[in-house]
Amino acid sequence: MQNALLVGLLASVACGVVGSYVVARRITYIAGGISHSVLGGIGLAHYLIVVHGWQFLHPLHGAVVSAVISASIIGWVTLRAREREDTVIGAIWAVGMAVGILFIAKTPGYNQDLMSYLFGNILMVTSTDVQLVGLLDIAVVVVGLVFYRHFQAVCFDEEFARVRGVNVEFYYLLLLWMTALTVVVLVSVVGIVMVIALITLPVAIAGNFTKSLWQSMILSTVISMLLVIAGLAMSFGPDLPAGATIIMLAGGAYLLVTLASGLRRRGTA
Amino acid sequence: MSEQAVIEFKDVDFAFGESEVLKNVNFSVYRNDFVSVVGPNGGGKTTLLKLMIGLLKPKSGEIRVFGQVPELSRRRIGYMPQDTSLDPKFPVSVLDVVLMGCLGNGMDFGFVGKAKRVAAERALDEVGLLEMKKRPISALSGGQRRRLLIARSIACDPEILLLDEPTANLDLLVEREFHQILKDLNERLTIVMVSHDLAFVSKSVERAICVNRSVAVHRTAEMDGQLFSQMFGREVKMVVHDRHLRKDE
Repeated sequence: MQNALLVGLLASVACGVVGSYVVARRITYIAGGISHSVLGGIGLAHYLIVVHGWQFLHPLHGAVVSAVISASIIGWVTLRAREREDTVIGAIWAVGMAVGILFIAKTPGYNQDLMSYLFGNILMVTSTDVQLVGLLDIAVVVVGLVFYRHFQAVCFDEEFARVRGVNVEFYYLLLLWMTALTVVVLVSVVGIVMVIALITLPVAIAGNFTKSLWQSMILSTVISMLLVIAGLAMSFGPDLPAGATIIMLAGGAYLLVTLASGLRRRGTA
Repeated sequence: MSEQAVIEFKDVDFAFGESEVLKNVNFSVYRNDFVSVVGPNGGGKTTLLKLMIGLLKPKSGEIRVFGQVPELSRRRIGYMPQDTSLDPKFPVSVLDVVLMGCLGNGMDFGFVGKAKRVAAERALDEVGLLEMKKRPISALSGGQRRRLLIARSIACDPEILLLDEPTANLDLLVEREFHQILKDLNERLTIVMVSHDLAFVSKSVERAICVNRSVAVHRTAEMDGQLFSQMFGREVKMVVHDRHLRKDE
């Protein structure tokens, strides 16, 4: 449980920082494509570990590689041929999943791992997972904060950023790579299928109370941490899947805040 | 090339793929000019501005800004794009938007230095938005948002200001305030402005660059209904008003 809590809290930081950029830049669909393609890398790594004895590998290594490759392909297509973006994202989404399922099918032994990668199993994380997530977190947070002004400019007005000499292509790809790393961090918490919810819902909730990107990052990180703690606590007793419980809480909180905002706006109108 | 001209176009052609947009464009803009770019929709006005700032490259011909290719002079140019593409609900404060205009001058990593903050606040003061610096941009009206974009474009202390339809969809009084801001800025900046507001152009601007694939430069005093008809490709009747609104109207 201690590892589970640590991973959840660490993942919340990456969620808050990167999720704020993802929502501001409106690349949620891209994040979804990257998250589902991760299964391809996980499946391949798992296959290499079991069948070829590559014990130095960890499934999350495969996840990082496939996430970064997917992000690079999607980024390249977006920058060169935006009209094909949707098709490519859909292709990467589906092909990534298919590759993963094929490799897992060819890997002998018990494949409960497939379900835990798809839907998360935060209670099974090891101290190695905690260390990996911690390292990825540091990378994401440092880059997200050091290049804050550039990301903000590229997300708000790409053309003006280009006029001011910002290398828009580089920062857009960097943002996609950070999204890729964040997706990998979240896979162990809520699983591939629900990663998008944890990237976007805390930011969407925070958006009702914040006026700037950095405020959104801080508040959505706190909200995500609270959701993880509450989700773990509520799922433990009745033995419910922790990832799904966290997402249900996030969805419920978002609905309540949205309704309350709507009522408040009507009241002041 | 003339030493006095700050912007020079020589035999410039431009096309998007196979679709020709500008053909054989020749003109110059001089220091402290206030020039308007007018013409029908799709005639190439915005393209002309983007060529000036180096966002687009000509198919042939030569463009010089301060004697150099536009990309090398970008830091000396302030640019205000059309307002339509920006998200008014984006989580960003008024001051932070203006600070984007200071990107590329010195260190841009991490926290913003005091010099840039001072420059941004000076720009906001010049357009009358200093008291709103901490407000989110969603709290601004359409006219205030346009003034914010001007502040962003002058924050880096440019020598040329390029504006793309800055007064589109603004009401008369807000438009008049806007024009006064531009006139004040023209005392130290060269201004090139795309505008559909022919009334403002004919009254307040010395020269107009008329664009409809090709370009012709006219003194606004010489512009008449026949000229506009040629430019727009249809009959245009010009009615001259010589009346000012009183304060109580």
